[in-house]
Amino acid sequence: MTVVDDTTLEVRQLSKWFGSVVALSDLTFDIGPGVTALLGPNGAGKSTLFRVLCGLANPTQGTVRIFGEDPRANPALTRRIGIAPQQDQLFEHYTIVDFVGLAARLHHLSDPTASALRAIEIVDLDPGDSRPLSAYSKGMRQRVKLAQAIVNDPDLLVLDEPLEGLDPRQRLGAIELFRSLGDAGKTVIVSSHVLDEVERFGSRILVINQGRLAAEGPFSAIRDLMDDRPRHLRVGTDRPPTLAAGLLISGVVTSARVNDGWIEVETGDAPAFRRSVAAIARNCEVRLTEVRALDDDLESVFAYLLGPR
Amino acid sequence: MSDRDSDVIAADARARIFEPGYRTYRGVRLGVAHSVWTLARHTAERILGLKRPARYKVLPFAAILIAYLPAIAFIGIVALIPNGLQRLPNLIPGPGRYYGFITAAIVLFAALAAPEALCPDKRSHFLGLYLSSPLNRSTYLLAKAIAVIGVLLLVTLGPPLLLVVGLALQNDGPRSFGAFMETLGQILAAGLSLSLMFGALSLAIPSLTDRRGIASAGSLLLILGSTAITNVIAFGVHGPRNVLALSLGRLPFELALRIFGLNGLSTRFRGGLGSPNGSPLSTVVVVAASVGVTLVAAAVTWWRVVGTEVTR
Amino acid sequence: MTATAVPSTARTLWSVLVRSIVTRVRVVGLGLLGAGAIALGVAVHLSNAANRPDAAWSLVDSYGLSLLIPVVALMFASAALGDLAEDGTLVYLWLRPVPRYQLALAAVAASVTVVVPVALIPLLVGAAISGGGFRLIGATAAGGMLATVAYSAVFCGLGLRVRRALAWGLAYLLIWEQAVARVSHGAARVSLFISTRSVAAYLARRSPPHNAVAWTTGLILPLVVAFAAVVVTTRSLNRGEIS
Repeated sequence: MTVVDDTTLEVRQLSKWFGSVVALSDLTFDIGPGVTALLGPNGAGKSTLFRVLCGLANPTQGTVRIFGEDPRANPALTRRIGIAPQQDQLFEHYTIVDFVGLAARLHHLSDPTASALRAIEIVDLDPGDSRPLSAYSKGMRQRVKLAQAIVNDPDLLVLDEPLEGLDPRQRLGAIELFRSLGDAGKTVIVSSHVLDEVERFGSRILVINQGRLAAEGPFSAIRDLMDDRPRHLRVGTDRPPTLAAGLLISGVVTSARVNDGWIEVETGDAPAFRRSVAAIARNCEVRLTEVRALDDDLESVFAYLLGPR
Repeated sequence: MSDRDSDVIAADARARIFEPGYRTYRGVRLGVAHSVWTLARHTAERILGLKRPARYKVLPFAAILIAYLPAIAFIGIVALIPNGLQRLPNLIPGPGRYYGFITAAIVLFAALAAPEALCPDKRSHFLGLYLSSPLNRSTYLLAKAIAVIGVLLLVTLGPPLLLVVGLALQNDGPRSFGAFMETLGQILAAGLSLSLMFGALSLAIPSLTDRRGIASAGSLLLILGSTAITNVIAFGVHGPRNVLALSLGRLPFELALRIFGLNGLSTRFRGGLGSPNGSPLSTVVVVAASVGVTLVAAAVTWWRVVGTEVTR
Repeated sequence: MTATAVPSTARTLWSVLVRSIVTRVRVVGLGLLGAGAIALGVAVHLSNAANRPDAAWSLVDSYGLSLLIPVVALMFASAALGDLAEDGTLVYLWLRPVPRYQLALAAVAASVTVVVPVALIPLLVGAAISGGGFRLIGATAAGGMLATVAYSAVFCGLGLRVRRALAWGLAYLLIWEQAVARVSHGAARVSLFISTRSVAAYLARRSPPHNAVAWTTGLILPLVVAFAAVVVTTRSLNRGEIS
């Protein structure tokens, strides 16, 4: 388990099953301030995990502690938690101000209306919209959920697929919001399938697969740990076949393929490759223009963690 | 040449490669009747909770059990204390009076069965899928009616049949073969009439909504509410006694009694129609009202299903 | 939470739940039933004066307390928390710093708030129009209010705990209350149906229903059942899984 300073959320040997179906199996991790992304394929157990973390469901085994307390045993803890659940349903007859204002009132905020208006403006919706929520689009409903989750300025924010249904501009806005909340010391947990945007959160990831924790930590660190897989790199040069032959002869690569003026190589020892590629290029009397990793992204990490090994 | 050969894209003496994409079905098609029967069977299974988790079986089987329990009890009594029955000749009811013990079970079963048959198709938008098959709205409704009426026979036909057969095995039923066959015919007619009436009534409300709970409550309110209102009018206000023919919770049972040559007054039958002036309603009125109510309810159902707009 | 926050929170919850259960279909459909009580009251009023007391009592007992109030309470109360649990919006009330008992009480209060104008008041109007007298009106109010509160509490809990609450509620009303309790004296002692009708019959100086219980039992049992139901609902909110 990775060490996290200022732990907000502590999970120890958490398991949850429904009859004979195991939804979560022996999860142990800590989450602290900042943005943590929860990744996993459909049916991995992300939503179940969120429900257990917020106290909406009982763990079958194990413990969950938020700020050191059991969320099921202490309803007052909900003052510090905000959740945007995955399901689409809202109080359909309410206007946005009514709905977010309701959340503010139930949180006993001193000025519920002002807090609601502020939250609505943060998510870029119109507080003066008098339409019922039933008339809202999917993306707008997502932002309504986000508004009611942040209205009480929670210390822990749990967001289940918050980017779903948002257009690209709205996604950028939401990501920026999550990052700013994380930078402000809040603990933000976000689940998402949109890997390239999760990369922009720039923080820790938890990868869950079939109810089990597959990996945790910054994704680049996870990637560095995956030393049992060869790395794929692209090498740019003015004479690809010559350099490819030189690399193969030197033994620093296990395969090399010339493709459209580039060489794509596979190596089991990336650091050794990087140390020696310049020298090999000089010996082959070729000009080296670029060396770039092809699998140093979240998608590759994700595919590796979830695929067959 | 088999019906799959047209999907072959490469073949020689040793091997064949088939089209990997969609292949149309070219086999025998069994026709509309088979479609109707298939849908009816599937609907009946759904109503009874068969091939579904156990919790879906609880309510229907509880209602069925309640309908059979008195028959089992009476058969047990006859088996255990045959001589005592001579001192209590009216203890064991005949099949006609038996319905008085299970009116609640029959009404409840009807109120639960029909919504289960119609509402999920509308709510899940499956109706469109059915209508894209050889079924049209009329044959779809026919299948649903067959399912509901068939399932209702479990509680309208089965229990009195069990009672008569059980008593007959104890040498306490109809005395002659002719009498026995006559009783069987009466049970069949009564059971069928009850199923038809309650089937029609209980299908009418679900045709108006796609929520099962609301449909069940609505059916129950229609059946029980009409009984309460007509009772108040006939017995409380001393209005026209023929208004009792609109007592939808009692009318079907009164018709069943008339099939056995009885009436609600003569048997002091809890489920049948009473009368404020001591003389029973005429059989013509009872039959006419029964037929009329059934036809009106069926017409409402047919009109709603035929008029339903299927958007997806 | 401050002392002033408590009634404010309860009022907020009550308001949300009332808004949730009052749908056009429910109000119109069940309102017709309530209107039926008024129509019957008019019919009784126009009938022979000698029959009026019996007819008026029949309206209250056979129609109002036996059918109208239990079914209307079932429809609204089972939806108070049940609808929210079914569509996943209960989380927006549950994941708040609100004591669970307030949520349970608010649900019962919301149901009572709606059942009274939809069912009880039309029944009182029908009883008044029927000419049954002030005693009958008082008896109807007492029996009706007892039934409204008790059934609302029971069916609120039922709606939260089971999926097909309407079906189970109908089965309970039809089988237990209307069939078993009528024939079994033991069952009648724990039947809300018999209790509320016994109280109304006592206050109206009418013949008690079959298997009637003492009016004191009839008064206490619904209140005890309502309290127990709220406790169970609170416990379910505390310990159950919220979708």
